[in-house]
Amino acid sequence: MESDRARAILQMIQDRQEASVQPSEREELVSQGFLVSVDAPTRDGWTASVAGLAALRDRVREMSRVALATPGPVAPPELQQMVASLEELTRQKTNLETLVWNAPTQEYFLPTLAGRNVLADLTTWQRRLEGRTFPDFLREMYDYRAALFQAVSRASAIQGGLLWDEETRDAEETPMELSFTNVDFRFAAMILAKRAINPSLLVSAFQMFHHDTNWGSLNKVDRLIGSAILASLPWDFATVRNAFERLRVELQYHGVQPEDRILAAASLADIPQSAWAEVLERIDDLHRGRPTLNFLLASALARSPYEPAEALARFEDALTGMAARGYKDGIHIEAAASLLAAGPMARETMVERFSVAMSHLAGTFDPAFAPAAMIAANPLEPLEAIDVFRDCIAVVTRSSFYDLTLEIEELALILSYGVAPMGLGYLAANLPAAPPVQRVEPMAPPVSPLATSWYVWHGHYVYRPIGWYIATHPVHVHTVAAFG
Amino acid sequence: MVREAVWVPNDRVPLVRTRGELEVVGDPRFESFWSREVDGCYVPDLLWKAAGRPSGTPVEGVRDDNRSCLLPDRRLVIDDREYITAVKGCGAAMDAFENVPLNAVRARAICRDPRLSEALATEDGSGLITGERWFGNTPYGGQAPDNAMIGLLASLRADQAQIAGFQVCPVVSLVRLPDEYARIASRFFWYRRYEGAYWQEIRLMPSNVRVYFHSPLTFGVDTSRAFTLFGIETFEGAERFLTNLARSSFAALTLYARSLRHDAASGLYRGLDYQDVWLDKDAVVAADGTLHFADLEGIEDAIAAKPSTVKETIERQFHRHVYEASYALEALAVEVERRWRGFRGPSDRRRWILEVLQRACVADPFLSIEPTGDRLVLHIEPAVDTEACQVEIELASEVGS
Repeated sequence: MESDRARAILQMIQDRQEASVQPSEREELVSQGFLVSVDAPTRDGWTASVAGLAALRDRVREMSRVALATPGPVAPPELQQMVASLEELTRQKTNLETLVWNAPTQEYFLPTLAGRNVLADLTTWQRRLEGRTFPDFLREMYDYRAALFQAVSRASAIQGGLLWDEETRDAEETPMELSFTNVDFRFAAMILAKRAINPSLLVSAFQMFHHDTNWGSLNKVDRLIGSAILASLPWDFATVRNAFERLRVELQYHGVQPEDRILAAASLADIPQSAWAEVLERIDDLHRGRPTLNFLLASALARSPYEPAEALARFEDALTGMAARGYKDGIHIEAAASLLAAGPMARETMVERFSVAMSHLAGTFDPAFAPAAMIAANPLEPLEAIDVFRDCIAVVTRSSFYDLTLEIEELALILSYGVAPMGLGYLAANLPAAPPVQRVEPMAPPVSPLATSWYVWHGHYVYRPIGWYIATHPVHVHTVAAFG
Repeated sequence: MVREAVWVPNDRVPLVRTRGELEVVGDPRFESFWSREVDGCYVPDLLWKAAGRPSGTPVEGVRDDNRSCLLPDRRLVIDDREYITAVKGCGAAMDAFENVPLNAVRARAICRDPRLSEALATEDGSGLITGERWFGNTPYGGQAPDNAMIGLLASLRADQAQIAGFQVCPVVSLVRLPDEYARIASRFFWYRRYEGAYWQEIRLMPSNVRVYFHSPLTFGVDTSRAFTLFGIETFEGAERFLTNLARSSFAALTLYARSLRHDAASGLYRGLDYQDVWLDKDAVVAADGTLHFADLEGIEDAIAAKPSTVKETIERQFHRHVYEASYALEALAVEVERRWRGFRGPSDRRRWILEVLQRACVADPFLSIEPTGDRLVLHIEPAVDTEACQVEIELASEVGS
């Protein structure tokens, strides 16, 4: 059966319309639990039983009142049995209301939770269903979600390794003010887990960067983000560290402030040395065009496929369009505008995509502007990208990979980057998904398949505010104003 | 099968258990428990130190709310459900006027006796029963006898742990703080001295997860973590949990109706009503979803002279608390959607809640939920004078849109 046909059937049954399901189609849907078959005698039996529901309910209530008026903890067995029967009849009544007749097979169908879920998937990805059989669709969705669970499992192993290493390390080596929390390590672990290699290698890579790099700064969050990004690169430690340190020197000559240099250099560390000059020149051009741009905004634009002048024009368009929709002022709005301007979508659709993402993310991040732009700027359709993000929330939650509820979306956003089902995974998709389908033609500088700059944006605009909130609020925040 | 009690770890509180000749008022049905398992009173160790360290046994409590502690190793099973002992009035964790721990430094700042102040000069620890008159006539950090007695009286109306389907955290006993401690506690106050005896309330709780406020993990705020704590791992498990939560919440919303009595001698109706208590901070959620009301000192009889007043009280009680109950049901459904998807948006989610709610309440003798056109109507039938006192309340409007 084609996926489109499966979607049509499930949708009609969901809407309680007859779907003329053929025997072969029926077998495919019933055997996998997407529909439950109910024969006519069973349905008639339910109808007959449910006719007595009201009378049974009245008797149960009457007996319950008598039982409650009688001392003793336990309801009489007869009443317990009647309550159980009443609950069963109520279930049958609900089922009867959702049954749909199917003439070709002379039976009724009952929609199931699994059927509703697969219908939701088919609806979300319906633009991609053409030519795809239903079994293929199911397999691809299964593989994609299994890969998400594997990624979180890797992240959990990495976090465990980082914690163990931190706890067993000589206290003098890591001053208290530089030691990381569980929340910090989960953030780093989720970035590192994107590489499907032995978690212990990633743990030692992170610790080497954390402890053996001359950071020139005691900013803990910068060191966390920097170590995670550098350790995520698929090259040897010395090469990456060398590039990182040389980039910091280069940035000094391009007017980047000392406090920005760690993140700036980390975000550029994936670029081949031959392209550094081009990127830095673009940053200079962007700064000449708009002197107030901070480095993170400029780097997003400099790494985009657009010449500086066009990138700045897109940036202005994004700002104007966002302001027209009520999103005004502030560094987070500018960050969102630079992410949109650097994205692969057409100039005319940037803000529309952003608005769609904002409407779904409002309230999940504080503020949600940069995360919404990160989702809007990915190559999927906005609702597809939102769906991937929700899948990631489900996986992080069900894997219990968090301590604090406010970590869930932050971690899910990292997990969602580059990931999609049906071969739609895009840049930096290191999960065992499929090859990218929507690539931007490389211009100078080359588009890197790694996510260094994306992680910097995430670290700066998503993780840092959460880390600050956690650092400034006691864990037992809910017990403070306690009058009970 | 026994449904186990669950509790979220919180700050550990050093207490000292004092036994011996104590004044105790207890529920006779739980006598073996309060006279053997938990007998004694539990004083914060700061108070014990100020008293010159009289004989007693150190006990480690777990902070619950501001002036209570759990004793997780003291448990009792009632009707297949396990409960943990909680002591209310065993010292306040926080300063009454500042958001800081009530430790020895703070205690010395409110101490009216130089000798006591001196005795605490080198002590550490936090948590204190004070002599500050607070919220009417209650010692801050302790419990007043009248409030404790109201809680016990309400609990005595329960059959095991429920009053006509309304689940409560039973109060098993009240213990008077010995004078040697009460005298000291009365020397610590900020503005107004409390005049009266100091008591403690020993109650049983199935968990320390409150609906929205006052616990380290609340169901409404940390729903994800609550799912993990309660072991909800499947959609079916979540639906069972929702069924219990809905059933018990609606029992709480109709407490007055289900506890209504008519006194022929006086001609008055009496039913239980909530005073200064709320479902969001004064009730806890058990591991199977059953809402248990914890602060029974806030539940007292409300009197009505005629059926119209009864109906008004039923309606007022429902409308005063329905938002809190609905919030918990919605929080659960939102979390289900986050984990297992399956709903086609918020309206589908609400439809699920209402369907489960109808099923959950189908055997409730005091209420029924019926579709009427595109509305869902709650019919409340009080325990007495049903014909004259029954009430209909619109539960949901434009269902399906």
